[in-house]
Amino acid sequence: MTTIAGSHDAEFAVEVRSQWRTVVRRFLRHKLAMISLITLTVIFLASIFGKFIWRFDYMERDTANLSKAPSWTHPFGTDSLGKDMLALTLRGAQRSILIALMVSVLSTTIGVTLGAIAGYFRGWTDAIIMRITDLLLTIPLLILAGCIAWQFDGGGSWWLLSLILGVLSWQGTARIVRGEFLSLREKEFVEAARAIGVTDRRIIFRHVLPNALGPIIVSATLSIAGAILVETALSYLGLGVKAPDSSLGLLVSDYQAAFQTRPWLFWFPGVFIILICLSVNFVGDGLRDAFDPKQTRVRA
Amino acid sequence: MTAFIIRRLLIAVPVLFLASVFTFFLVINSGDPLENLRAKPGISPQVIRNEEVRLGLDKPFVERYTQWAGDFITGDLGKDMKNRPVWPQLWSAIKYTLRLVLIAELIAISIGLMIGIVSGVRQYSGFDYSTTFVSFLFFSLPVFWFANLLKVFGAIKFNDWLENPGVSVVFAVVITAVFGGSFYLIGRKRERLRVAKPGARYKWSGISLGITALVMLSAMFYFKNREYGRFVKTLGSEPRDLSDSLPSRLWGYVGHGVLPVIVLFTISYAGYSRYMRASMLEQLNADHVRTARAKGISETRVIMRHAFRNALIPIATIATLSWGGLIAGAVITERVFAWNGMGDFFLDSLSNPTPDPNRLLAFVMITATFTIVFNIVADIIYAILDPRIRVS
Repeated sequence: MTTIAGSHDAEFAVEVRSQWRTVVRRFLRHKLAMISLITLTVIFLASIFGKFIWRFDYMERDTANLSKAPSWTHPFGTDSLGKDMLALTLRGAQRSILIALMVSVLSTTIGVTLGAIAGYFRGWTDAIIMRITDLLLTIPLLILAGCIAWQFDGGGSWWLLSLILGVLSWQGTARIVRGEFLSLREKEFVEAARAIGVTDRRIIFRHVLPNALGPIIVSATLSIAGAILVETALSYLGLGVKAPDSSLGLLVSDYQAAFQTRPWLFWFPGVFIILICLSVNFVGDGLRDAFDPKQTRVRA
Repeated sequence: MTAFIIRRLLIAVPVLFLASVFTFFLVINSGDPLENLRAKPGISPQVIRNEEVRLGLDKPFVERYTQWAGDFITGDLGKDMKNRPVWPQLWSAIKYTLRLVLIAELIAISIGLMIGIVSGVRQYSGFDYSTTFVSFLFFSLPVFWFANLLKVFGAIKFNDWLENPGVSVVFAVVITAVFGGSFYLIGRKRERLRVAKPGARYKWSGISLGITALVMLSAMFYFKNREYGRFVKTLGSEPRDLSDSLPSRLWGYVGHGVLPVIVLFTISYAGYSRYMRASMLEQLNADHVRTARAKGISETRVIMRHAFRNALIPIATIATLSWGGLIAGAVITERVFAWNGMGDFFLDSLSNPTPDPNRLLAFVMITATFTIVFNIVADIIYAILDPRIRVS
């Protein structure tokens, strides 16, 4: 809270805020985004630490309570084997979130690297990288990932599935970052840096990349929601996560036949997917607004 | 223009070529098609050897690729593992899926654009916030879950209701009151904003009350005790009984298609409404719109002629981008509703029980070709709509 020197009246003191402070302030004032962030944090923590607190394990069979509707002992009910649905859902959510985070980190890293190289060096490098991007965009992700994951027996392990999805879903980020780099590299401060002999690497990482961080953070956030939807869809189709491992998509697939008779088995995993994706999307939207200098709706 | 189209087509050739090499590599390595045969007890090595030769598994990659690519260019998609030609099967699948996808896309475009325009014009209004929320909800909806939900509530429960359709008096009164009340509130707000004449709230609420009451009364007395059958179908892509009269057969197609179309609609609607809103906002803040308003042109004309037409230009590219999402959505939707479309074709060739190389190749290549063709169409539309793009 520094004030500009020379301001005589405290009433007219100008508060100096850095760009990042402004962004954080804008984001904190975005109500929907904050609610979503809290929801997300609660689900995330519950999915990780739930097993230490909750009295039932997801593998445990409560044979006294088979196919029971939601009650105090089992808030989400039990399945026909007496497994606690809350424990199962938390376990599935943990796997799905873990995969989605991995995919987001991977695809953002690849996308930023390739996009930065293409946008900064232009010419042939750019042409080749962009043709690869076009190529990967011609085949829908679900189909591409399905073909490959199937080959590894449904990516029997979660990390293999996240690896496959991450390596195949960086195109959007790469395009965004390339666009940012193409415009930023023409700016005066980059020219100045080049004039005093700064190396390409340093220009990319120290001068251009920090200025492109806004769109990168937004797209990384939104890619989490996309990853969860693709992973659960693959698992639902039997091409992704397979038993004994768990995923929210697998739970829906396992219990869809029970919808008419034991609806609670079907509702909870699906509602969890929606809650997670909706929150992630709202957080992403809030971040986009916070980074947007033209944004005037939320006063900073 | 012709030169532009030809050049655009020529650029597509290397992309299609690379896509084919990539796909071929992917499919060839997606598992051993003879896995089941090899696992069978008492099968002689000669039989396996013959199968390998028939499928070309003994040849090196390049030779297999050139052979396949040559056939593909001449329109021969080869034969599947059971020695049936692939193309007729794929063609019948394409017909089903295109029917589904095109209808859903048309509905999504028309509703999405309308909603997008209104929420752009009325930015930050209650309408804008609620449609934005719905769009985000659709963005976050797991297709397979929603399709199952529709199956139970849109088909089974709805059919149960149709068997004995009736509306209770309480329900009718509540619905009528809700409609009348909400239109009263809308009318009052518009009066305050001075966009509606004084007294509009009474006119609006009166009309909506009357219509709702009429619908409810007819539901209570006229539509009761009629024979509807279980109209909405949960499985299959078309009516099985083809001996019926044309109207009842058409009705049967509607019964089979309505739920899958709703599911695919939710996939692409959200994108259209969001992008249309953003595009409208950009146009409405543009200088030429301000000029138009300053000239005294009516607001309707400003919105429809000056803003809407220009806002449509970027939407042309969104339309083609949604193709991939629609195909992925169709794969899941067709699995849930047991349609014999491309999604079913894909899952069947991937895992029934071993991958079927020629079928998979045909599927992925056709999907990729569609994507590339749509991209070219988008570029051409863009060039026609936007005079700033040089075509020569």
